[in-house]
Amino acid sequence: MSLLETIAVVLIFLAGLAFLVIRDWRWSLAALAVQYLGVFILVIGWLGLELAAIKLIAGWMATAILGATRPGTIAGDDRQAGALFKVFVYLLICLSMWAAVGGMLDWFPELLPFQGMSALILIGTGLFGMGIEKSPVRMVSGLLFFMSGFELVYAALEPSALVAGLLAAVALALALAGAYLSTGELPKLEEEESL
Amino acid sequence: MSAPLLWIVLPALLGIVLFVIPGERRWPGLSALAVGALLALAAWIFPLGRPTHFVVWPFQIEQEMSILGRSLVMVDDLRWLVSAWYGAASLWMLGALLTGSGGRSTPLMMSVTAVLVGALSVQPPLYAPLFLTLAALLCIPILSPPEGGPARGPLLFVTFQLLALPLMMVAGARLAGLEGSPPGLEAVTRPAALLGFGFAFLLAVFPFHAWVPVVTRTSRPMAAGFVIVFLTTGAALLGIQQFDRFVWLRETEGAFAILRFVGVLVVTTGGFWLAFEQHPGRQMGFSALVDGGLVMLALGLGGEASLLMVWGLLVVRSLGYLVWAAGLGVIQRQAGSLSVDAIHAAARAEPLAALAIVCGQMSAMGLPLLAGFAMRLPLLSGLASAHLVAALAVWLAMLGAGVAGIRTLAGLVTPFGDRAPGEPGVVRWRDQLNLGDLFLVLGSLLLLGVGIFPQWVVPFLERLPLAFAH
Repeated sequence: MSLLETIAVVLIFLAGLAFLVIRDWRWSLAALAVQYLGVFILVIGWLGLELAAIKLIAGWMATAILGATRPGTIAGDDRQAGALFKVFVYLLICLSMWAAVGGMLDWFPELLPFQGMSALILIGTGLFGMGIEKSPVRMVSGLLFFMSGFELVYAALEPSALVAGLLAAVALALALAGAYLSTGELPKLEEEESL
Repeated sequence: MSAPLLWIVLPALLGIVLFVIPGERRWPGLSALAVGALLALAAWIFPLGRPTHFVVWPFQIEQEMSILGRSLVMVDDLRWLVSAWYGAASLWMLGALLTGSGGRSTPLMMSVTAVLVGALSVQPPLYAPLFLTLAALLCIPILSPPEGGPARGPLLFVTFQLLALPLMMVAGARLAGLEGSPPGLEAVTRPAALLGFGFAFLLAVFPFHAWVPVVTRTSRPMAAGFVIVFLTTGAALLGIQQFDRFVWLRETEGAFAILRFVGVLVVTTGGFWLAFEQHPGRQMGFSALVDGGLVMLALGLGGEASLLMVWGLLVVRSLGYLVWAAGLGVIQRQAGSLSVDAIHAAARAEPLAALAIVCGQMSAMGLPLLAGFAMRLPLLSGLASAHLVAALAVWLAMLGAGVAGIRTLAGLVTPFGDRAPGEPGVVRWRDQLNLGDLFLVLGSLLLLGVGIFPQWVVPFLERLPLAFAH
């Protein structure tokens, strides 16, 4: 594992932790952007710089779309409740993924252990995030984490331009959907906040 | 001009453009309806890949379009299916516009239809799940009520659809090149299991059906009905495509046995919930689950006759749920919401909407003389002669649907009680008939007509299986 790849794995680990633990929307979206950087570094070897850059740019665009809805206006986003619990669960996710990575590599011999581990951390973070969140933006961010994990695995299986393009379209459409649903929910949540 | 450009790329983009146009909503919706109907007609009339002419102008529609090193291919035999697909979508758009229950997202129905045609056309078929996911994402504005409110239903829906994507893509990559005979059964067992789980998510198989009752409760009935019918039909067609593609799959009796088992599971659980469900929208959702199970059971019978049953069930389902959802949409608009109380006394205040609800629900239940019965009868006799347990499960589900149908009927004729028409949550009286009422009557009559004369649709149904080579 090269230094750059080590940095990418560390970035993904920290991004997952930050996404789950920090409630401030700016930090959550920053974590989303950082994990895209990590995925970009890890898939360069399979996809080449051009296709890997598509993932990075589409991911950052998706993050920007979600950020443009300013989800910080939603009540309760600044709460830090359960942070310790989430750290504990995140470490548990990482441990269970560490145990599962061997089985995964039997299925996907194309992957190296650190790549498989990174993909599983992203998938686990995304699934857990989706499960515990209620706000559309945070739920969609969880889905984007999940999709990044899958894209990391799939890049090794099918390094195709069409797949890269369609997955980028899926990420952007998902972010647009999150933004659309978030703006639909705002009046109701602001009303609740004022009560 | 190539067929994929005409029936996939252009309508998909046009629907999105019409959706984002600000201001008055009627013209974008009508434009999408006109384009959808024209595309259905064009697919029916013009052959693909052969010289033809329009009045005196000769032309040829190419079958293939290259895109980023891969291709979208629409063979000539696929055009009957494409025509039916666009025709059904046009009817749903018409219903949404006439009953005023489609919201501003009617043009997106055309985009969803185009992307689903893309899922059936992409080569290699490995990429089809990506198209299904894009179609699911396009459904989010359709499912979101325009007045805002909770986003849980659309989010739950898209989550389940997205969970299917990795399973199906990985399975597709692992099964690539194994279309004929695999080196051993163990080489395909795990990918086939992944594929099965992927389809379970897409088809809302128990226990992955959580989004259906939520969406049918929170979204407009026409929107929820369209998404459930079209997305699950798209997934079912993709499933049939897998049987067409993999020789070993259609020659393995175990695959059909699994289909029958899952079909029984879906039909039984759906029928059970249906029997106890009171909300009219959720009843439609659970009924759609039962219908999905029936499609699996029909496919699980195997043979050419089973494929005809599948097509019959899919076509009648699209028509029946359209009429049902349109009736519910009118009630929702008149009452301001769709609740158990909203349908009370609708038989007097909105008799045509009540007629549509009864016809749609009774057809889905399989009541004789309605379209649903005509398509269930051969399935039931086929199951009774070969798989009695599955036939009993279908009978039980029909019993559950019957209980729900009687509950709806009772609700429709229940008096207002101490609440007055026009109160929030109570259906209002109307003085004048409109085109929406005509749509409801014609839809109900069509369900009755197909039920009494099923031979009307058989020549059409016989053309649809041509889309798949085997």
